[in-house]
Amino acid sequence: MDMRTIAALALAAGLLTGCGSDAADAPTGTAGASGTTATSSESADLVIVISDFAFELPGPVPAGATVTVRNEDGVGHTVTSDDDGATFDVAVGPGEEATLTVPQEAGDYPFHCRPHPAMTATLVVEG
Amino acid sequence: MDDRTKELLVRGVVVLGLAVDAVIHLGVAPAMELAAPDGLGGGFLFRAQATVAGLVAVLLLVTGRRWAYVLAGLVALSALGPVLLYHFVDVPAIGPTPSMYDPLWSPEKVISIVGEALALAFAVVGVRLTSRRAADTVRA
Ligand SMILES: [Cu+2]
Repeated sequence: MDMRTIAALALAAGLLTGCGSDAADAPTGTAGASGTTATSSESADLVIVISDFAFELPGPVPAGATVTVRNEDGVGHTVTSDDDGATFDVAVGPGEEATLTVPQEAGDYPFHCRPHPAMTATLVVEG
Repeated sequence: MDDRTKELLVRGVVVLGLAVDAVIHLGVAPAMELAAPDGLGGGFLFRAQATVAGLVAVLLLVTGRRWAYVLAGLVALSALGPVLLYHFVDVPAIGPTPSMYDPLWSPEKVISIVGEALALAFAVVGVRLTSRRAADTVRA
């Protein structure tokens, strides 16, 4: 009996979490407490790592989330949206970390590094 | 082609090469400040390179003297040496000089390397030409 209850709870939690990440634009109230928890633990893991003059992305990110940009190189880099930095433009010094706020609108956001235009990647934002 | 015409052509190439070097360093300076913020700062170093290259280009253009060719060659070398060094070697920060490692190619980098290499090579030719001219003057 207890095992079944636990299994059911786990399944429900899984559904809620999946629902939360698939439809981030749904009112938070619908997902309830577990939805909120899922969102915040997700953002804690969102990191763009810059290493050896390349971007390593965490995969698709939720709209409006906060992403940490960690620069592991000995020189500075930027995360600059290809619309000349109008959408986002974050500079991160050698060995430092910075914070990037993800756009509110879902879509693909190609970006580059200003000092090194050959460094490119695309930030995928899900609604 | 007489030596005077030859010298003018050589002078033109060196001046042009230094001008390219100056314009590119000036344009890239803000980005270099982001890439190399430590010590003196990449922005300052690139602006200094641009300023010195511009000044020496004008001096050479106006005088066409041997010492101006020597200066022009040294300025071209002062840009060409580091750009190649920092492209291939991850040199750490040394005192006030920040780390300026950049293993990637960019159009700006290629164009400035071509300009600097031309300026250096033709400055050497210019030094030779003006040495001969000086020697001829002494003999005459
Ligand atoms: Cu970069």
